Amino acid sequence: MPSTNLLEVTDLTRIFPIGGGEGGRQRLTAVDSVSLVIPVRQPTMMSVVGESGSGKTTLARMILGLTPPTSGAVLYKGNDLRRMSRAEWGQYRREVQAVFQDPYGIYNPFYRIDRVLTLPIAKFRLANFKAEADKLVDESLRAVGLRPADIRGRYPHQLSGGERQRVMLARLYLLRPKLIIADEPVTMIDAAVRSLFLNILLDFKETYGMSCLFITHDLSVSHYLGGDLLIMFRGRAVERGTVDGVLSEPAHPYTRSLVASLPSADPRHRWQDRIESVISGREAAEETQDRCLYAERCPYVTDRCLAERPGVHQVRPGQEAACFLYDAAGHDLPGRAAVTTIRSGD
Amino acid sequence: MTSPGSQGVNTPGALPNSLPSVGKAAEAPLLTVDSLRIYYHSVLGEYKVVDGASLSVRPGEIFGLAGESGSGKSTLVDGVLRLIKPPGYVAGGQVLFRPGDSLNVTDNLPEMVDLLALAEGDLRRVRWKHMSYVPQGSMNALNPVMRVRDQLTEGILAHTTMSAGEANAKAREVLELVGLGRRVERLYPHELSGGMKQRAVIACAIALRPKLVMADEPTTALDVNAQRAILQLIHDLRRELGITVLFVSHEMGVHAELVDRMAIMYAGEVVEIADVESIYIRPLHPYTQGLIGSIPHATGERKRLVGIPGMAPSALTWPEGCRFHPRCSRAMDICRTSAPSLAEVQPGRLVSCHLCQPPAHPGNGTGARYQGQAASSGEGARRDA
Repeated sequence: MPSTNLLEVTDLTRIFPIGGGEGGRQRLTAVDSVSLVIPVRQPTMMSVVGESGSGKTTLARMILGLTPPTSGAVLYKGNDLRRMSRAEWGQYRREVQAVFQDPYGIYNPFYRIDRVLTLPIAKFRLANFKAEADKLVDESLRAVGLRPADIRGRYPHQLSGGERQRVMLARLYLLRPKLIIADEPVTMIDAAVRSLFLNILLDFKETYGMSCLFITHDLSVSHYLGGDLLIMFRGRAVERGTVDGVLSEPAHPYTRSLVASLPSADPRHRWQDRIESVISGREAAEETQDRCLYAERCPYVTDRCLAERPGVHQVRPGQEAACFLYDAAGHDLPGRAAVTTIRSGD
Repeated sequence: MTSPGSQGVNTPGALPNSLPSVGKAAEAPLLTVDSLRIYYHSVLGEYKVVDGASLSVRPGEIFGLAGESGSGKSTLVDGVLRLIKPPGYVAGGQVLFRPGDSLNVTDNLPEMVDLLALAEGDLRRVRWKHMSYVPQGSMNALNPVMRVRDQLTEGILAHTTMSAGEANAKAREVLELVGLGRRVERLYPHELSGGMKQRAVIACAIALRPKLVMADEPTTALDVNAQRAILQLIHDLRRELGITVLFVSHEMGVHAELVDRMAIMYAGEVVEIADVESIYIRPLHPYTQGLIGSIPHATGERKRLVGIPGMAPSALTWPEGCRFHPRCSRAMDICRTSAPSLAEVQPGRLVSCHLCQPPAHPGNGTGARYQGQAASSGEGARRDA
């Protein structure tokens, strides 16, 4: 049965035992019933944004099959990752590729850079002769704006962080995956090189139809990439929609605080208002998952937020938020202007 | 518009004391870094991490220091604080600091202190009381086995003649000032969030009301909400205490929100100094233009960013001539052979670039032509972006 979805993540949950605690083990719900879909019919760019500890990386690791989920499923072309045959798994490993945050940690320092490109050529039999393989390696390096002469034969420590991340992109060029899982790939490289990296990713999507799930803490990066956006907070998906929709009219109070705190990069339009670190002081009587996890910081907190887990509600077509504010039909936002009117200039 | 040829005679190293008088800035600078050189020994040769950097910070301002990683920002700050450890050493230059007249009576400090020439004992009297430091990764700057308030008290006792009770009260007052209330003072660092730890470190830095606080990437590890709160705090502290801040960050968006004037570093040098609006709206140095062209915006039209091709050079061998020329799209012959120096090309604007510098010989022709070029290319870069 051919699926219409390239990737389908349903109610994915991961609970880690974190030990300690009196009289029992404490548990940390790193990812809590997150679902997302990347369709097969057109290349999609989807950003997952959240602060550190929001479960973004755990989500990526589960999608890549590196961390088994506690519950829920990852389906690739309709096949559950955990029930794949050897051949399907092999295909998955070929068609879904990862780029990680740390351009230093992923290279084996004892091998030359070439190896990360020649290895997949050998594994997936992309070339029949050594000369052909060599040509492919050179071509892939040029495709990401690197000079083969500068890169080949070097060791990882001899390259800059930006170059190392681009070699990972060269690897994607070789493999032409259907889906790229990129976990904070530009966090550790300089701004000037960052845009080169992001441009290549955008080109890959346009030219080769590669979809991308891009994990980042930086909303401005997701704005640059465009496409869809999923906001995570403490393991839960709190808002989703298109990048443009969510950034221009953020709905969930957490998303709104994020958007309000983005630096404008324009000294003529500095923040005009002040943010107070809102601690409403409202805390649930006991440690429970059946509540809104943002309640302590939320200016709109009600009793219900502490007693019940908010469901996902549609805010406007194409945008939904897990917040009681959008529960009722004609939802009115209390004090909405105070939060969203941030810059005097725009 | 002033003709660039009219002032700023191109004498190497003659920058800092000739800063223009703009508004209240006629005051003498609080901190002057002049052609500072900080090298590191290695078997391969000398790593010239900071190599001829000059800037000056005026009293009461928040001065930003930006540049990509490896450009020497942090090392420059370490040099000013005399924190360079072997194999690093100060290879040249001068750092002048004006501790002010009100406080130095008790400390027997002259009005102007040459920080690099100061003996270790005298240095102790300058640090913390007159100039302090918020280190990079300050989340790890706190002692994990000491309560937050005790760490402050300890420092206050070590640098003043206060009694333990007075120091304790002082610590409490300072914590309050940075937004950490009674509840926090008895906590241990691991019980604090990243933003709270950052506040605690800032509290340490301002405890003795220094004239100058140097903050090295104080918001880098924080999420955007905490980052904004810290920027707001620094802004408030400047207003309330009148402190001067040297703010180091690689993130251009943060500078745009906070600083008054800023310097751009590249390859161990300062390549441009101007007020923050000029830097963002009309950058003159091609490197600054590249940096501004690489900032992603979170709102508005989605434009393709250009970035800066090529990679940052190695501190072991800076390129000949202008250190930026291998990556510069507008490099000329002279850029390959002769290094430009930081010169005032417009009132209050210092740029180290052959495109911007008035010719050494009289005649304003070239200088005037440059003006038009810089303006059009600056805008061009943004349009392409």
